[in-house]
Amino acid sequence: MNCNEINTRLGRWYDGELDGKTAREVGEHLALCPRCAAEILQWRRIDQLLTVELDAGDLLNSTLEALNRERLGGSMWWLKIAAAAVIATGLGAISGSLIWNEPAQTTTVTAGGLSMLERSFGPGALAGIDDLAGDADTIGQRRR
Amino acid sequence: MTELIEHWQRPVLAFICRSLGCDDDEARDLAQEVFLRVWRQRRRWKPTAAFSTWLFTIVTNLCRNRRRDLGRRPDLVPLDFDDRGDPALDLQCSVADDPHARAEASALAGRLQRALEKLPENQRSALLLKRFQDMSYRQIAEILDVTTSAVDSLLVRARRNMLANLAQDQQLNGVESK
Repeated sequence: MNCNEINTRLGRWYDGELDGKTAREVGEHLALCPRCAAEILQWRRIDQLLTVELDAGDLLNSTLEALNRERLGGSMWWLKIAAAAVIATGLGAISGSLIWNEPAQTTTVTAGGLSMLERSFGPGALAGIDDLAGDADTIGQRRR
Repeated sequence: MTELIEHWQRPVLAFICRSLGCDDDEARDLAQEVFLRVWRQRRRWKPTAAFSTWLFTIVTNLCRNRRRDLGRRPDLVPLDFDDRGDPALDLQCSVADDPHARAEASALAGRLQRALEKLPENQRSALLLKRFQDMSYRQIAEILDVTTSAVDSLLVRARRNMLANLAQDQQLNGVESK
């Protein structure tokens, strides 16, 4: 192989993407050609220079906290809807009872509202909030 | 998520630092956003694909968007690399306790980052994915949505352009210091 033929394979050779036979042929050329070998040496130096000293710092904990806020925020959104529905139902029932003077209805409708939420969001919806509180505790412990 | 973040935080940070040339704090903010996106988009990941490929697709997209938002791209035209001889680069630098050596190392780091930032987006991403993840051409092709032949070409041009950019930077600095 001459330099022009090598030139089209140099990148794949350097990155280990050539088959065994072609890789050997390129290697043999590089052993004899200072110009092509010099280019490979320069590429190695670039790779060495790209090494970066890193300080990951508190990335893990800050990400877990952000994640928890997001999860909790999502759950709180449902919780707010649930609370609003309960309050609206309750207020409706209270106003109804004031008009019709049937206080017993208030309790019945409120309980009905809660069971409606259970049916709408599923039994896991509220349990999930407890789980997230557990996650928050775990992070709190980690930070301590 | 804990295990996932612990495992991937350093490669992700390294990629972001080099891709955007930002400081540690900014890189950590972006890395956090990467992991939040991973969590938000977790249902999109198909177990048939390598997780690293999916993760670095998110990382490269985020870096690309951030660069676009900040308008940091200084040069869209790739530099040609005509000089096949020795570009008179002194890339070796030993950092000892010597303040002069530290200053040289710092100057070299600046030159390196400037050279990297002059690369077209895909060349820079291909180079960093190869350097920090040692990804195969197939994986890089998948992330950048190009062919494996294009990856070959991108990497060769990236390396040659890096050398040309470094040489050009050195010449400019030489002229300025005279």
